[in-house]
Amino acid sequence: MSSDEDRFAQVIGALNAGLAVLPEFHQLLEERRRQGEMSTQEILGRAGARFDENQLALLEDLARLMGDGTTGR
Amino acid sequence: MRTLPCKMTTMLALACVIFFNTALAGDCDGKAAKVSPEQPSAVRTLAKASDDLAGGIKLTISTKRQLARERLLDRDEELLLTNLMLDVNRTGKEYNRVLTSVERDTSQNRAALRNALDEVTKSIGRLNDEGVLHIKSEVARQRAGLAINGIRAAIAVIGNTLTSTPLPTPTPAPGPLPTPNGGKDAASFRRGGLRHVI
Repeated sequence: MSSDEDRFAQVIGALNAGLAVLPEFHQLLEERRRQGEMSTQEILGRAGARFDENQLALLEDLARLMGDGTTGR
Repeated sequence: MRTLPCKMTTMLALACVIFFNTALAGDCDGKAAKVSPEQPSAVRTLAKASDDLAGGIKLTISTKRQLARERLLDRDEELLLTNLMLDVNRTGKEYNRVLTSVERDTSQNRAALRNALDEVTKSIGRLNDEGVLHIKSEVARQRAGLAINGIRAAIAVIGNTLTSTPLPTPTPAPGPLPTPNGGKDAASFRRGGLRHVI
C-alpha cells in the first residue's frame, strides 16, 4: 500500500473505532446531564454505587475468564 | 490530495479532544443545568468528576466486553485488561471515599485528594502501557484507547480543580460603611471591602 492509502486506512480505522463506542458515550453524557439535578452528596453516592457495580462486573469477568475461559459476555 | 488524509487525521484528533473536553470537563451540564440545587464549588466539581471517572470505567468495561465478543481480544489480553481495570476501579473508589469524607475545603484535604488522584493516574497509566498498547488487534487498540480517554478527561478535571480553583475565603463580619470624606473607614474599604460587596 502507498503511504496515502496507509493514512486513509488509519483515518477510516479511527472513525470506525469512534463510531463503535458512540452509543456508550451517549449514555455517559445522559448520565452526566442528570448531575445538574442532584446535590453534591447524591452525586458522590451515585459515584460510589457505580464504582461498586464496576468492581462486581470486573470480578464476574475475572471469574468467567479463570473458569471456562470464554471471552466476551 | 496527498495531504488530505493527514489533515483528516488531525481534524479527527481535534474533534475527539473537543468532544471530550466539552462533554466531560468543567461545569457544563447541558440542558439539565437549569436547576442546580447547590452553588458551584470545588467540592461539587470534584464530585462530578468522580462520578465521571466511575462512568468512564464503566464505559471501558463495556468496550472490553464488546471487543472480546467480536473476537478482537483473546483470553489472555482480556484477562490482563480485566486485572488492570480492577486496579483503576480500586484507586477511583478510594479517591471517591476520600472525597466523601471531606467536610471542608482545606489545603490538608486537597493534599489527601491529590495523593488519591496520583494513585488513579498511575493505575490508568499502567492500564494503557501494560494493557491497551499490547493489544494485538489495531482496531481493538484504537477502541480501547478511545474508551480510556473518558477516564483521562475526568482525571484532568480533578487535577485542574485541585490546583487552579482557589480555596474559598472566609466571609468577614460586616463592618461600617465607608465615610464619604475619607479617613480610617475609607482606607479600610480600599484595602478590600469592595471584594466582599461584589
